[in-house]
Amino acid sequence: MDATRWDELETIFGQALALPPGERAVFLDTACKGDDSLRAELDSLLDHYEQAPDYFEDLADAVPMPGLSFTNKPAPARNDRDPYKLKGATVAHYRILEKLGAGGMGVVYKAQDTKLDRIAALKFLPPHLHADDQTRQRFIAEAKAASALDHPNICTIYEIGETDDGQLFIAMACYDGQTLKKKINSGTLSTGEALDIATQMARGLSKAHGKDIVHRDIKPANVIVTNDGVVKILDFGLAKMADVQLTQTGTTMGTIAYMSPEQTRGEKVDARTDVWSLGVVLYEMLTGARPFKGDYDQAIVYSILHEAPVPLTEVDPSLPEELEHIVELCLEKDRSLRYPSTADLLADLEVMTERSGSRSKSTTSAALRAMQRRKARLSRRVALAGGGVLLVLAAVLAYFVLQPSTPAGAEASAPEIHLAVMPFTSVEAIDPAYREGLRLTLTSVLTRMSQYTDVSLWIVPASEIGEEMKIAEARQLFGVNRVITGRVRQDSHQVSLDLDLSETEPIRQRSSVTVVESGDQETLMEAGLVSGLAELLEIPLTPQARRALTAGGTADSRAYKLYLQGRAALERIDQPESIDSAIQLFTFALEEDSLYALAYAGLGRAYVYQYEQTKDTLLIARVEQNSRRALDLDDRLAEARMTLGLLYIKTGDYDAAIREYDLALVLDSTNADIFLDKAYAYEQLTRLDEAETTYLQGLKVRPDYHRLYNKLGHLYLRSKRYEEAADQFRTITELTPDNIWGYNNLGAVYLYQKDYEKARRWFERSNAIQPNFLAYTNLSLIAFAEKQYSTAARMQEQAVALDPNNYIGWGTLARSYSRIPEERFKAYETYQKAIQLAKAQLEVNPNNARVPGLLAAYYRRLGVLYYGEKDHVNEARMYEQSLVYNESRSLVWNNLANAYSRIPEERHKAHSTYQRAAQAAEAERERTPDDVNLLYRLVRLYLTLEQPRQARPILEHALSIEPDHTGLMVEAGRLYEQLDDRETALGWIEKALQNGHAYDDIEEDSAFDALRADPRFQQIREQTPASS
Amino acid sequence: MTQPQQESVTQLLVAVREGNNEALNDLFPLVYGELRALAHRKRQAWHGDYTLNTTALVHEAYIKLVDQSHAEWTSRAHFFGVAAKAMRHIQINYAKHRHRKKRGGDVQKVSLDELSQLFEAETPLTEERAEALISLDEALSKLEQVSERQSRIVECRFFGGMTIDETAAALELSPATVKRGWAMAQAWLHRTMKEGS
Repeated sequence: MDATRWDELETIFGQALALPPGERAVFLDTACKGDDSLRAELDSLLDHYEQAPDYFEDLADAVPMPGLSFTNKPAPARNDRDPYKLKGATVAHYRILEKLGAGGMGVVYKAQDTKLDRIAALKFLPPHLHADDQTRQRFIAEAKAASALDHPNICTIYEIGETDDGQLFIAMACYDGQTLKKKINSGTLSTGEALDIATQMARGLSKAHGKDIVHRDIKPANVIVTNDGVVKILDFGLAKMADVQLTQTGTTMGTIAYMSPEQTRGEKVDARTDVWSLGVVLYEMLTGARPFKGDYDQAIVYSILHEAPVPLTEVDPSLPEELEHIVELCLEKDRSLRYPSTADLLADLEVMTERSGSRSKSTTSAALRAMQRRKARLSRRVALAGGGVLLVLAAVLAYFVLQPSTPAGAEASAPEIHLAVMPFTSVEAIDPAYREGLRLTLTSVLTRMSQYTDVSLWIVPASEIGEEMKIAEARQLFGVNRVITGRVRQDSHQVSLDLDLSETEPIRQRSSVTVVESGDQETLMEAGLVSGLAELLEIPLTPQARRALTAGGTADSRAYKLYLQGRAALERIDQPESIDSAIQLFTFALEEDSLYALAYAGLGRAYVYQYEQTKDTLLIARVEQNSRRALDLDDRLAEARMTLGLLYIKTGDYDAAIREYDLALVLDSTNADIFLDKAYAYEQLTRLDEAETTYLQGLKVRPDYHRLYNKLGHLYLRSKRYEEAADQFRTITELTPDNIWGYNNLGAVYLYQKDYEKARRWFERSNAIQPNFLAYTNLSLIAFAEKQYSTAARMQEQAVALDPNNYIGWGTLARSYSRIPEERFKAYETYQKAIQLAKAQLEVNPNNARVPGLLAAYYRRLGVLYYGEKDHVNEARMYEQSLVYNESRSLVWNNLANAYSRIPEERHKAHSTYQRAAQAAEAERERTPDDVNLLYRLVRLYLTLEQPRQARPILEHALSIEPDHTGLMVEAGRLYEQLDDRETALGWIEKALQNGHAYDDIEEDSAFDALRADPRFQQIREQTPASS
Repeated sequence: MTQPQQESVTQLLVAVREGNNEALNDLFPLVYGELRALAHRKRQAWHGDYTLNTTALVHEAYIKLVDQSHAEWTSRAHFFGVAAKAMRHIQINYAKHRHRKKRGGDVQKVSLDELSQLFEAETPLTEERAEALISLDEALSKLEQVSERQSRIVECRFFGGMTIDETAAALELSPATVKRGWAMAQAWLHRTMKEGS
């Protein structure tokens, strides 16, 4: 096997493993592209993988190596084993008796202290936690500080010792009892016990916090409840050491379910971090379930960061409401809203404990009053964080009006910086694409930087700032109050970038900074740019933030420069050759640095755009490969997640898209585009409420972003909330007067309301700014509705010229042609073109619900065209196709049956097809019982099938709705003929003719042969004026 | 003050970093020898039943063999990569030794082999497992023919006791590549060991 094939095999294998087993087969079908031997190899390997990890883990036990874990998770506690093989050994002055347990923080043995003759627990720490001297010293210092804590609820530490060969251990008191984890799992905790345990934990933590020691890893496994019911908190200070490991390697030490939002973001922790974790533990003790859940780590983190837990009283209505508020105040995502200290929490818990002891106790303790104040604030926060929609927002506004003096009010009035990065200037030697790439990167860094500052900072997307745009325009178009301008310089040895931050009203420089890269580098590097921006805007960045902002970068200046040029090319996707050059530039960048994550992400993005334009299904795998590769290299790249989301939207896997967007939001919750695309996916799944909520969440992040208004407006339009829709679109025309979509969509609102005059005006304004497919198509639809078919055709020809790959464009055009006698001949191939494009669309996106309906319509209309030519064979074929895509329409079944009856060789199929048509019509009648056209069709069908008794009640109902319908009268005549009631039949025929029904209809209808021969009919005929 | 051995190992690591693969071959016997010697001393220092902690052992060898004042992070990673290969040899040799011993073969010859002291674990290496280890070693040699990268990953993970991240650093791969390669290598090795193909 050659190396390329092996790599391909490995890539697909890895991708398949990442999927749930049920989805692998489908994935492999696509990924192997019909390569049977590749497929067989993968099936075989995946099959073996079922047993392989267990097998090797077992085998590894034979190799004397403790601490080896194959699953990349902390090794499970192996109570039956003794990995350090210490049993019976003597360590310092301890004789090891038995193993007590093991976890992420090491292995614990029960030991006899031979000096002091007491039982102790010895914890041996994993060697990687104190590998080098410095870490070791810090560890000892931390552990010593923690050992000074003397409190009944904190586990007593006897000493920190070292074995002869330098293995560190902690000797601590050994308690008879069990861990809280076990207690919770056994499911026997009462509310009273839970409250008591939480109170004791809060006491211990208060003591530690008083000495500035934060635990950082409060979780049930770190809490022992002795047989006397006394709580002992273990492992103070140890987590700090684990934390170093955590941030360095990006792997989690234990469960993350108890981690606070600030910990998941890698920020500094403080006492309130322990408050959060205690809140999680309390929630779990009370309900048996954890408040933040997920199937995988990222999902849990997402939940921690963004989701409000199910309120306690909703899980268990018997729980007191106050307790719910206590828990909610522990679990405030923003720690400034949490209990400021464990002492405050303790005060509330003690009040609760007292109350549960004697029910009559007054609740007006200072702590509870404070709690109620917080509760008021809390309900507002929950409303904002949760899925609440418009009504909730209204309530929030009311709250602001009533309580203007809350701290939150002050937050809202913080100055907002609304900033645009203007096009840079440069000396001649600088490639304009490179210069533009620098600006794009800077804008993107700034946008992400806004999440690391309390200042409300909005950045205008780079794509909105045209190359020629002036500061005054930016102020006018986007309402920016700050701009960054830049100038790229280059001399023989270095590149530099001068950045100025200015106010826009009036234009006045505030600060400036020069970013220099020396040492013969070809470009400025990202780290320097990040520092420069942080300095310019006076945003202090933590090392973590810095790392996140330069995630996926490169140290290779050539690669970086190529990447920047690629980025610039990606911004010009309106030009197809631009995508090709982006692909090329990213590929070159990867040749320079094959581990450059962002370049893979850029390549994936370029391919998704190419797929969008060409609909070439072969590109799907490339998008996935490159994006996955980017994430493999750096899992912090929200951009790559977004590309995958976009791909799955384009291929119709909306659930997968939503998953990607959720993961992207974990990485970057300030990016409004993620909300935009996620909401779109919800819309495609017709989960409209969730879509609306998502849009509104996005608007909270970016209230100036016209695309969010646009989509939200569309959603309202779809829900027939026209006024609200028009409001959104009007906002857009105000925000961005040169943006055609605002006008197009305002036009659409009027089109939906059939106000053609107003609609046409808006579409024409849109076309005046920039001729576009949508405006022309809608103008064509308006002309069609007004029966101006020729105008409709001309408008639609303009539309398809602008977007020749849009099947709807061709379908609409064909319909117009078919109404113009001299152009009807063009309708056939135009429909075929629409059908061909629609089928291709359906192939890549089988979930798009619109396509089958439209395909059915195109075939049906083709059938009608052939009918007009009396080509019934082709007519029948078209209806058959139409029914493949939509088998529920009785009209098509009816037409097909008619066509069959006109083809001698196929006549035998007519009867059963009429029956099928009647069934379909009955189904339709259940939905629309008063649709006279449908009832008329159904009556005719039953009479064609010679079932007059079925037809009769339907006919009577139809006539009661529309008594003047002459067609129904003729059917009544037919019905009574079939019932051998000539007298009544003649009566109905007479009535039909008197009401203007064409005599020819009856003359040509063989069903009336006998009736026409009746002398009474001759009489009627002579008396009827229409008979002449 | 640096010892001569330290000097040569440090230099070799610099050569490895600069892309000289032959330096790896020169490095191997030095690392192998040191690991064995260290393991032997450890064994004597502890009188109880005791199994070696591979990672700690390798780390100690590294401290001893490499001049810390000139050491770079990449050197450390390379060193661990070489050490993993050395551990593979030490452990497979031991398995082969056990295998022969159980078969009643060359008991005399190897009875004093320090390896038997070294790895006399509480959980003994059964004959079946010794055989499995040897067959793993053979399969791994075959894997090396098709994918050098995956075989190196297996050495680090299985024989070196290294985590995904440590392996990634040692082999200069991304953790995701290591994870994927490790998964596929296990599947491939399992098949080769079970089906012999």
